[in-house]
Amino acid sequence: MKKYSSIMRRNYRRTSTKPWRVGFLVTLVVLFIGLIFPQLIAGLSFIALYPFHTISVWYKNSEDVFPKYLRSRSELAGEIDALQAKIANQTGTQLSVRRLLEENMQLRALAELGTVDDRLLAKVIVQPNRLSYDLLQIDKGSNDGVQVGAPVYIGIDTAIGVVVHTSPTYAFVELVTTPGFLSTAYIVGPNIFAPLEGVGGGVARVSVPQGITLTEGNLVLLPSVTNGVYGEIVSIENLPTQPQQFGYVTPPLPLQGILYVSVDRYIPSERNEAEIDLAIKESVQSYFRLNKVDLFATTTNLGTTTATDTGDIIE
Amino acid sequence: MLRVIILFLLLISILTQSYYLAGALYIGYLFWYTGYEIVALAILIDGYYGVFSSFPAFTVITFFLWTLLTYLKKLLLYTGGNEVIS
Repeated sequence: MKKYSSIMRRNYRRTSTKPWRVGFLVTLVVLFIGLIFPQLIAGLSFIALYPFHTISVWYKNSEDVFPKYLRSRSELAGEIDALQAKIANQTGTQLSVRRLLEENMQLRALAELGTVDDRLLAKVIVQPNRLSYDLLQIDKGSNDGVQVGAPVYIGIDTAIGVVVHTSPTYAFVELVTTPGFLSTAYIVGPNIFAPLEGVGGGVARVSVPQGITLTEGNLVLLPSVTNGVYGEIVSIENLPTQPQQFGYVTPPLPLQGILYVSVDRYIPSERNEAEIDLAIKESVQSYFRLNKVDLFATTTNLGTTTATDTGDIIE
Repeated sequence: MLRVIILFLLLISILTQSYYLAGALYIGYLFWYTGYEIVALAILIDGYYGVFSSFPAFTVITFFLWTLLTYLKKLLLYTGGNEVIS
């Protein structure tokens, strides 16, 4: 049957459908033979594919530059994938460990707090994302003995602010980091007193004259408050053209992570120089001492381990 | 010529175990050309790996796909796009 092609502009004869039928039959026959004589097909295939087999062996095993480059590239890509997966896994584990560690430290601090008579334990009920920043609302008020002006701490000795308003059942705490909040700080390291000013956003800054060596990690204490550690310097701004340099200070916990605080029952009275010196010395030295809870935990652990070991030996 | 090159690359990629490339070439060849050569290639590969002693799955699947596509193209009056049926 003749047909007209619009592209070729001539008649042509339609191709027969025979070849595909032949191919179909041949394939069936070859399959059949292959299933009856598998060794024969294997031998023939190997002979037919020998050049390709040689190429693949060269690619897989050769020490020449090109195949080696291709192999090492794919190996390196695989290794990068594996390492990235490993890093992601480890980051997750590290975060879990850090979270548990921080929770543990908070609970230890609270446990120690239970032994102190002049402190009130309070739960933070509203935090800065729902209040104006640098303000906390706690669940203890004047009914519990909270007074305006009482210092507020995280744990036992990290002073973070003062009570600015009380009602019978709750109180508001203004943090040291509130913009415009001024206090006097003592910087351990250069061992100097310096003004501490809140700049907002959970950050305060100390300003010291040029020439005094500030380093990141220097502890900052609030000597006017008993054992008042505030935090450590996390960043330094030092422009040679300015007469002073700034050290930015943050508390050890992010504000969102503060779940419990302790409130002093008594408003601190004005203190003289000797008292402040003594308080600073005590505060610095306290870092070299284990607290009661740590000691208790260590002793208990040691006791348990010894008992278990002895038991094992007896058994 | 292009068909030969594609078949050559398909063979090499299967033998060097570059399966992503092989899969792409295999599917492309089946859809664009639907030539019976690919069945012959499948038989050779199954023979090379000695699969005929159990079940030559690659050959059977390729044969099935080739038959199906050939039949479908005939059914849909696929003529290569240059034909006016009179």
